Amino acid sequence: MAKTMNNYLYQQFAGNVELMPIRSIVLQQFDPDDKDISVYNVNLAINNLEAESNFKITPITKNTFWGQVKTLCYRVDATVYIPYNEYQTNNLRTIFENVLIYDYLMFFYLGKAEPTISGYNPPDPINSTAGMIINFYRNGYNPSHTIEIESVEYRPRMILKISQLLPDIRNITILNS
Amino acid sequence: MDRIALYYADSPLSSLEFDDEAEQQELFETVKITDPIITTTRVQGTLLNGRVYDHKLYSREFVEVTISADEIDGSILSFLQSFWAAEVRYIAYKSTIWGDYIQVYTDSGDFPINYIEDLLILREVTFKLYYVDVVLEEGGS
Repeated sequence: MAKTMNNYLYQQFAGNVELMPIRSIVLQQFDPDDKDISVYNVNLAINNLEAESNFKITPITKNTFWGQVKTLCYRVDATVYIPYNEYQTNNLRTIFENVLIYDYLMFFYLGKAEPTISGYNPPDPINSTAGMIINFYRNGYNPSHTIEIESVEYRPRMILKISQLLPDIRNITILNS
Repeated sequence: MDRIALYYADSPLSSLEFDDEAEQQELFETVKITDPIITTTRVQGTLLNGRVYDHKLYSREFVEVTISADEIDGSILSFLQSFWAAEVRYIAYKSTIWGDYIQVYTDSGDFPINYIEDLLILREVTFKLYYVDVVLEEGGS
């Protein structure tokens, strides 16, 4: 019996490239002893990120004996610029160091995607024509993070850098908003 | 050659015909398989009159195989360590079809694992697998 062939055709990009800046980063901490990752005990959403914020997913590769390039794993690096700077009252450093322990899931909300936290409605997105949620998770291995505070122009701001190695591109989930 | 199979057992196989359903066997693409490389064992010395004698005892072949992080998860690491520690070990090659098993041995010592960039996720194992059988001279027996 002949094999069925699937054809995929991508075209008509013009006019269909969506604008989706990083809008929010959401960190969900859950109990490492509880294998059900849908049950989390902290839900930290940081909205209104600065426009410089960025993330990238890059492969770590190795050349083979035959001249090919194999992907060994993926590195996710995110640099999130957080404009809130009343550190004496909102105490972000303490929040991060309490949340970013145990196991946690990391989500990037892009464009029109809206993190749902009861009691808070984030401002309407601007410069966005579509939405997308990107989630990273690797069982048993947390992302690592560093916190920096730098002074730019007339204010201090916080930089949260998150990185994680993922063995497989399937550890990255992309959801519709 | 596009794949290899590593197989281990407690006792030698009665048939060397490849079995794709064999237990204690895993298939690998690898990132490196060298050609079979010849290595010789010689007896050499110097006589009282200064003449050197040089007798080749035998030659055999070995291959160097590197399996990298893209193919090593927890269960494969466990398999590779079992292969390293096993009593009898075989390799088989596939180009278009699988060839017969070839019995191999390794040097003694530590399991040859390396962590690329010192990262746990980037395990890499390199085996130097010597063929048990010697290379016969043309016309030899």
